[in-house]
Amino acid sequence: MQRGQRDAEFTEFYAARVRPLRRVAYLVVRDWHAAEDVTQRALVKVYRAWPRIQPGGLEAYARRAVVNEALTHATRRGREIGLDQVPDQAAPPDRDGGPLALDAALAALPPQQRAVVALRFVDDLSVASTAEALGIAEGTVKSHTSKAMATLRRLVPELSEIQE
Amino acid sequence: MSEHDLSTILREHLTDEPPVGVTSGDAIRRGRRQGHRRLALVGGAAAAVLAVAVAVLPGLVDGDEPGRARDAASAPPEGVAIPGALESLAATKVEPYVGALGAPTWDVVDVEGRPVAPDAAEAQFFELGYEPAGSALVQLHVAGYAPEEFDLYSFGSTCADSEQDGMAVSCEQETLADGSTIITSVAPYTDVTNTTKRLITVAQARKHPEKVLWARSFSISTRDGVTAGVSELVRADSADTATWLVPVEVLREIATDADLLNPDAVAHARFPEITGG
Repeated sequence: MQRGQRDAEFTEFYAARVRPLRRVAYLVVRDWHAAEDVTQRALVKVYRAWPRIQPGGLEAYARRAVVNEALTHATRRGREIGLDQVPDQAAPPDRDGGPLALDAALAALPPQQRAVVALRFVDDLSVASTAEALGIAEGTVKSHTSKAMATLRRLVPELSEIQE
Repeated sequence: MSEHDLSTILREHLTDEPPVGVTSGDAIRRGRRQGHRRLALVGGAAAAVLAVAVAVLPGLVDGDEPGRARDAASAPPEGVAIPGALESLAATKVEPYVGALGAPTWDVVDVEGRPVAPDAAEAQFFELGYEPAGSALVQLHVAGYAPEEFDLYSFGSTCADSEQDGMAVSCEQETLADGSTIITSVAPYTDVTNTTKRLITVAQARKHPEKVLWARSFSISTRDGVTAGVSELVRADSADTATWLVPVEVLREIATDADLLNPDAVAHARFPEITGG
């Protein structure tokens, strides 16, 4: 593959996917600046691997790269902060159940549960595709989903009232 | 709250995202720079031109795909400075240690990685490979790059990167008084042909020692826009048991030979502009 062709194809892919991928990263790392760094690092890897990625596997490869980078960042940051500084519970939600409340509730989820939430409910992936992206069993995806939903309902009661 | 509700809430939550502050061009530049730094470990083939060659021949450096050798000419180019100088250095400095060099294999390309005649004005990357009697392979390189792109393609963090990525057993880097950067390294490679080789991690090498050649390399990148280098590759179960025949001092003498580092002997085309993003 000539370099010009590779660059053109990558640029097209980048333009189409950088925002959705950054949103997934954001939900895992909870900081837009960090999410952008994480996404860019992953896309650099995608560029370098470009000639070796089968066209049909490009999306999955990029998603997996972003999620791996995001989880690494979140795990490392958690270690740097120190467990003694991580609150047992999220900060109390604001009264309206608005963005601040959701942010706080998401912060209370472990990084891998946030990744499951991001892939399933923002990237619209099936349980099977989420499992593949994270390299975990489908049963683990279901378990993470269930626990994450329960935590969100508990910490943001307003969310529980939506369907009622 | 159903799963559909959660999806709706999360999407609303993300509607006020800031604009993207980076571009595809940034990613492409960074990707090439990382590839280039790794190339310094290849043993001299660290010029900008080789980074282009890597884009054309991705298996040359890393990844899961075997390296694809270009159709290399077996007949030695004649009558041009770099090919003559490389063959002369191989004969006088390498052969005494490794025995008969055997037939040379040449690979000469332009800045886009396209094969060109050795005496062509656009010839920017020269690689000469031998399979001598006493060693698995010996490879010598000379490449040009635009001097103003030195910072972009410097060896700056090659050893730090290789340590972080687990790509080398040892890597020593030094900046000389004239601003040139030199690197001495030991690293594992696979899918080795006369003029290509694929850098792998030390961990990968331990898993498949039967597929690995261990290279001891010396590389130099000058402020005049020239890089040169030489590698000796041997088969061994590990770097600890590898027996290289050519002393490092001799590798250095070859790579720093004035004829090879003559900036007038190679092309110095800049990378074409990266567009898009």
